[in-house]
Amino acid sequence: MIFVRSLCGLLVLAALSQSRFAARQQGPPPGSPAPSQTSPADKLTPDDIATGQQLYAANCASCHGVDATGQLGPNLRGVVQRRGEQGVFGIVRNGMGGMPPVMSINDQRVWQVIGYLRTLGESGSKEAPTGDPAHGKAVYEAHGCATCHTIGTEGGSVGPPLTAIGRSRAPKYLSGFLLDPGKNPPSDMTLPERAMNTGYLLVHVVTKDGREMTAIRVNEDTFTITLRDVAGHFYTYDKNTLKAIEPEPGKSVMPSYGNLSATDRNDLVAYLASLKGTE
Amino acid sequence: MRTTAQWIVVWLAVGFATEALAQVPYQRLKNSDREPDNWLIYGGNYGSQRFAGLTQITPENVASLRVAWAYQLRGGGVMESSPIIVDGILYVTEPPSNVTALDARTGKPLWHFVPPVPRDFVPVGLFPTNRGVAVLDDKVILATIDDHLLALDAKSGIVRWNSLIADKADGYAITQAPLAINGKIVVGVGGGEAGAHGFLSCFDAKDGKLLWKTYTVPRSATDPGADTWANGSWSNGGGTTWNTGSYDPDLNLIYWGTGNPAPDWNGEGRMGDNLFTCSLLALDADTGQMKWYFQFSPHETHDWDSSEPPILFDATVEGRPRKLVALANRNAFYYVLDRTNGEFLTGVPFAKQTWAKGLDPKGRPIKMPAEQIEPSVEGTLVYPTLTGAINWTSPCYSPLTGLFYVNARDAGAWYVKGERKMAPGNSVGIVGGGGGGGRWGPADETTTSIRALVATTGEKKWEYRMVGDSWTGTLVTAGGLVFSADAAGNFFALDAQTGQPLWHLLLGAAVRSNPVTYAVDGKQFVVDSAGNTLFAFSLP
Repeated sequence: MIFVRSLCGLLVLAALSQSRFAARQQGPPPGSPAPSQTSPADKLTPDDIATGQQLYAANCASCHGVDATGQLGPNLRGVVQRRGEQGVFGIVRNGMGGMPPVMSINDQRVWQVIGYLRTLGESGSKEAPTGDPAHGKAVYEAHGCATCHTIGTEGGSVGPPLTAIGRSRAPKYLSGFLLDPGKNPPSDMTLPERAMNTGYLLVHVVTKDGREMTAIRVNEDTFTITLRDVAGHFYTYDKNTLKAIEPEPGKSVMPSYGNLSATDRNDLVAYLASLKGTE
Repeated sequence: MRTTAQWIVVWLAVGFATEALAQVPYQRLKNSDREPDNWLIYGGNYGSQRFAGLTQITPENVASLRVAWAYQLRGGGVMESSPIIVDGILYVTEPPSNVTALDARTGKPLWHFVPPVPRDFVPVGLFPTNRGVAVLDDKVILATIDDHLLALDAKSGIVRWNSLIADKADGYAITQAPLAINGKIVVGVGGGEAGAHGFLSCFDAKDGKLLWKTYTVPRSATDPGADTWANGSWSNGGGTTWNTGSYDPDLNLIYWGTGNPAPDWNGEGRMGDNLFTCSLLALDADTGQMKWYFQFSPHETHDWDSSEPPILFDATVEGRPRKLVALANRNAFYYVLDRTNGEFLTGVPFAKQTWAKGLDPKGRPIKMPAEQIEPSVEGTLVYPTLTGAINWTSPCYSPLTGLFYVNARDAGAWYVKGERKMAPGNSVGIVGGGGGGGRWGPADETTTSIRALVATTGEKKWEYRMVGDSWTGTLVTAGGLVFSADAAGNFFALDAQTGQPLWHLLLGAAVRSNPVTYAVDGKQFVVDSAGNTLFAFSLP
């Protein structure tokens, strides 16, 4: 059997991995900001902050970027202001989404990292969106973005949810993405042990009996590969049955919006940048 | 119905049988290859070959392998332990430093030991886990994350003695299995990321008294190697001994790898070769005196420890029988040395590397220009990656095929240089070794492969490519199989001669441990863990 159509819950979860940051916020630790109280981060000295910067470089930068603007993991600039010191501490210790619990540094050192992150401010970029978010919302609706993306609870599931996209992506990234969606895709965080992989990667497969398909890779190991089409159907192939497996980096299932006027694109970016989540 | 007296007789008989079988004198360890039903030493035998003489599971029947039993961790975490099996009892460790004895036939727990590790103790730069125990006579020997060496009664887990190996306040932490030799327990330390000074120590197996302790980096300006650390920078520490080594009973030499110098990624403050970091040391087992050393990565700046298991084997090289030691290094080179004197014989890459043009006739790396390989503020892309072409997991060697089987990682990282701040005395060192760090290399590039190398030359005979970043060791059997797993948790068997995949089963979580095999009542089992569960496989 080579053309297995699978809709098992496990794969659905894997496919929805890009929304895991939103979906897995249960219980207090990785949640909302703690009520205002004295935090261990308040007692840190400049030396502690400098140590925190080194700790960050050694322990966090590989996923969150050397400048904390996000890479495999999300942008951490402003994360302390958004989630509170205790909230960030909980995420570090308990993990979140694709991030495993960090147990290799002690509490004091976690606070030093938090102290350092607190100095980084709200945005990963000094650039502020210049467009009109209200008109951008109209552009979003007029061009059918909701067919594939969810904001809040409404929309499609082909692409990642955009409910809090303004927190993790700077306007410049969003603008570039609209022009060329395949150029700088998000990372696949479904299986951290697989190291850094491209998310929403289009893969073309050809079966030994000549059938072909191009769809989004949601899971791959040494023996199998699972693709998802835009209708949300999953296709798992035993690699022994495939003649070719051809990743297509640089391509995306999302079309380019280079046909938008500069004003419309700018306004759409401003709208997306304004989406900061529901909490 | 048995009478009470009959039950007592049965009970006594079982008791005495257990008493007799629980004894693992040194001679059994020395001759462990003669009893393939048991797995008595972390590395399978003193040569760390991870070769098992069992032949029940073969390329012809492995396709029918199935799960015989499973054991789930009582606590949380991921199991990285390589079990020890003695006469039907399996000893496995759990994070952070717990030991469980299981019935090797059924997986049912017999006893469980939890050492009193302070709850608030979090080691620096490493995940609190444990990779196994040693056995000697009637004791199970455990090194704990907070630096205690414990001798447990093999039948009950009761503590017989408790010695302190190091002070955790100085940055030391231990995850390795100790090595039991003739009346002695040898154990190393971790903590190179906390500025700990590496050493190897040896304790009396009877009472836990310290017999010798040999530092791997200078402790004063007059110590050997101090002239290879500019401006007294040996005080930064490093050279930890965090993975289990090997032993040659005939030469009475212990072979142990050492880790990075500190700080890790910024070598400006420690110019020189930084002896004896990133080296293989041969120490006299009775005195701890260094017989020879071989430094793989002088002045290392990428966190490429040389802590990988040294595999001892004998072979003919250029018409001459030699006693050899082979090591697949985190720096992506495979080395073969004469283990009697440390003479370099061969060194070739076994994974992608961009940092060295090659090795000179003495085995010293001929590095690429510094601007191409040294960590920089903006990041320098170098292969292998931060976690190395191999890390702590074990390769294996089959005397039947003459092949060395290694799980090799092909990946790069952007290496970042930071401040080289280390605290004098190193009691409050900077995590990550200080001095920088790294970022993932290019997306979608990380692959791991089981590579079979001709052990004497490093020539690749075959490879089996996997998807993703596998952290599983290898096991080779006389039945002609190599066992390992991919990153997704597919545990598999390959033909040891050809690398052809013969069987696999998805275990549902990453396999981060070394597989082992044993037999009880004539049935061969293969065990490995995935996530928090230990699985045992056997034929129906």
